[in-house]
Amino acid sequence: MTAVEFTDVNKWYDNGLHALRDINLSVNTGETVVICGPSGSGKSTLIRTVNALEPIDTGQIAIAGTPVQMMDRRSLRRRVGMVFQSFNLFTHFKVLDNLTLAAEHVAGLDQAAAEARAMQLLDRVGLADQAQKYPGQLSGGQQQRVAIARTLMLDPDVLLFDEPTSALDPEMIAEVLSLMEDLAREGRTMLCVTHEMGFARNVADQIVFMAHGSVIEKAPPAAFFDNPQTMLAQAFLSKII
Amino acid sequence: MSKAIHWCGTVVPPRAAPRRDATVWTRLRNALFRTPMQGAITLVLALLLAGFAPGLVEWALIDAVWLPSDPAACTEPGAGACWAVVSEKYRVMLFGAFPYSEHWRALLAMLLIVAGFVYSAFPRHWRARLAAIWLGLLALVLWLMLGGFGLRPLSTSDWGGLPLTLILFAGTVTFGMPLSLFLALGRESQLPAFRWICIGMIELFRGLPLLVVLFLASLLIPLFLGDGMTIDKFVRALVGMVLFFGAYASEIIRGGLQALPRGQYESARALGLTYWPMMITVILPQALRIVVPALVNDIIRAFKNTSFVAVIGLFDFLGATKAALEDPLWVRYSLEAYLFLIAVYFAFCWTMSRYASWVERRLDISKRRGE
Repeated sequence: MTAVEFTDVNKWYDNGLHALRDINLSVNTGETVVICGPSGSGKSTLIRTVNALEPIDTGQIAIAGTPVQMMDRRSLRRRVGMVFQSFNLFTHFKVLDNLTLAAEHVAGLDQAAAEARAMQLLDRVGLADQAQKYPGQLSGGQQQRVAIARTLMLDPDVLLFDEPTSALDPEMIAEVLSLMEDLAREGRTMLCVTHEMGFARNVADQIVFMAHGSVIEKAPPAAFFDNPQTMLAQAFLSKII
Repeated sequence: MSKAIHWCGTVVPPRAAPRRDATVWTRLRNALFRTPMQGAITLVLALLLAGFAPGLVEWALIDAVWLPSDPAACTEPGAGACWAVVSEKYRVMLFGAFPYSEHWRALLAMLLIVAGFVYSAFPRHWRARLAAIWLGLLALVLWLMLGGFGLRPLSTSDWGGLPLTLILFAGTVTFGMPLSLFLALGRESQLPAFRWICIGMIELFRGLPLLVVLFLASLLIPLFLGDGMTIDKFVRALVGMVLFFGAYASEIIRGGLQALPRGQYESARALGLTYWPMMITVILPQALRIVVPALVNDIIRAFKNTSFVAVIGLFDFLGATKAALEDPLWVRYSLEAYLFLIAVYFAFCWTMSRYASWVERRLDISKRRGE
């Protein structure tokens, strides 16, 4: 089944930049797709259109067959969760309250139910003992794991990761990647923008390579890494590996 | 041959930091005589002080006339400061033309307002219900000051002195804060018409001196109301003060909204929060916390600005003091009366500015905890 489908998607920024050009892409349910490419290639813009943080100008994006434009924002974002590069935890809330906020305001859970679910998810990411701390008291890796748990609170159908390890100190990258790997293994649909090529090779089902706002290649990791089809992809891989 | 590996280096054990404290003597020397130039300035100032201080003390304390026996006592040769003017006139200065027998009501109203500010000073009380508390408190104050329900009825034209100053101040902040929030959010609104109205109001009232705003309020508002309808002079002044305060405070709040990282907005939206829940739970608590020191500063200014209403004919503390000094028997001693007025204003403003620096440090500490 198709979880996310882009059909002829185009986007221009206000300054005239053609950020996404004729994107056609489909992501199956349960698939992990890694989007890579040089900076400025439109990777982040692409995944930010899925939960409508960035509006598109032409074309259509559908979640499980329903066009994003037809869904109201609240139900779209309940179905599509997002993890950011800079965690974006709410610094004035304790870890536990970061998780319960959307469950109470968006999913309509009562406080006890929201807290029970939050503790379950914090336990799952190995941070149950940090529930009463403020985000500023945690390490970067811990903050990102909290952010992932926060996203899971609404049990979204699709998870978006926008360079989730790029703001982390090197020794903390592994803990976040292994959590993402667990999520991929349990069959979540994930779109990840990342420069972690090890993760891409071992975990992804598909690699999407972008340049200049276009999807240049789409292939399983083994094919993409061992046998890139285009000069652009070869040049990119030769620089980062 | 393999290279030798040092499994552990030498870990240097921690030591106590060198002592930095100094004796009183070295501290004084550093403060007053660090360089020859500084020493010279210290000496000159000390000489000046020695020259003036004895005369000042003699005038203000030793030869001063304290009791309101008779203004004649102040005219005797060798008499110093005539503090008698304060003990004679303090009721008029503090309460203006408020009926003497009802002064207890005005005093109670002042105490209520001061209690309200003390309560509001603690960050743990900064909840939406604070606005409701203030509305209730002001209703109580209005009852005390206007009477009815068992109290002798009075009108705002009876109000004067420090109660008037404090009610204007409390009213300005109570109504001005919500207005400033409304304007700050409106200025960033997606609805063009609404946004332009908010920008227009902010720029208009920021672009005019407060004195002009007060004149406008007292002259223009009656024009809009049409014949037969009058609106209280006090209310007109309050409207002017609220608009002026709201325009300035809204720009401060907007600064806080802009200082907040965009990621806070994005993650709130990505979690499905709609505009109002996002603003109320995520954005405003953080944005307001950033601008608290600046807002407190503006609130102090609002207190001082109340003295402007004297020019549109309201007898606030300053106006009432001026009126009290029209008594020909005491008019010569206006200096002493104004020194008293200065002391009262200073006590209020200094307390608030001490509070401002306390709350700044306090928020800084909790920020370090929170980020």
